[in-house]
Amino acid sequence: MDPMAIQVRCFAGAAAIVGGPSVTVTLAVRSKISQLREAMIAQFPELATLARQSRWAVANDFVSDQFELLPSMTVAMIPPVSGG
Amino acid sequence: MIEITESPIDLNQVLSSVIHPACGAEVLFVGTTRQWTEHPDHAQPVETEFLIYETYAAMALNQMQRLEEQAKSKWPVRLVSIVHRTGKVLPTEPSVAVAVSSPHRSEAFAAAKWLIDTLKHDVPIWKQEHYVQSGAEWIHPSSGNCNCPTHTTAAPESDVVVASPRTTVDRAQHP
Repeated sequence: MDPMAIQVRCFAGAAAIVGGPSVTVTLAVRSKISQLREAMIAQFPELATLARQSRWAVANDFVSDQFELLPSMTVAMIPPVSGG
Repeated sequence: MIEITESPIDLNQVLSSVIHPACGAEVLFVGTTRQWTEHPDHAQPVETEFLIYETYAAMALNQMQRLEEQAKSKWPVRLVSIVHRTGKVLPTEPSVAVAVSSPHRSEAFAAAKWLIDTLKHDVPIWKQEHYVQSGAEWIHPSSGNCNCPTHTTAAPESDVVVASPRTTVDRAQHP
């Protein structure tokens, strides 16, 4: 399938590891969140521990590992939160 | 009142915002920045100079609004306010305030506890501890290191990782 570029917003410790507020990951169309996570780990090996503990969000809502990504979607990587 | 603000939280305003003539009970929970915190890498508590809170604001507000709706469906609460601070917060300053009103006190206590517990799991806000002694680190608790009901049912593997999720960064890299 054709590749697509997915922008991933990064926060807190994840932003510190990737060196900025977002990264672009190239994936096949209809890739799942689980594949996005592994692609990000391949791109940033230091992110592995945090990426595997993180939840993921699309359109301001958490999505599951099986969520299918489409072109132009923006995904947010939500590492374990520490507000409050 | 659902709000994320860089300004100091006005606790009287948060409490006033939930006063309702049908309610005889208001509960206000305030979370403040600790000056002294237990740390897995140190025998003695470490001293915090200040915290930096970062948020994914659009999603955080969305999640906070959902918490308000859920609290109102679970308990007979009339008004809910949640205010969280972002940016730099000094020790003893409030970083979060949750206020709930209901006709009687037991449901106000229950709803306020549920709101702050759930906020601390589901609302995308993170703190970076800046220590007096040295350095700073983002705090990413593993899902096994708290005692709230949501996490006591978490998968056993999550309990193993307690210290490693802390991502240490130099203060120089993160002004």
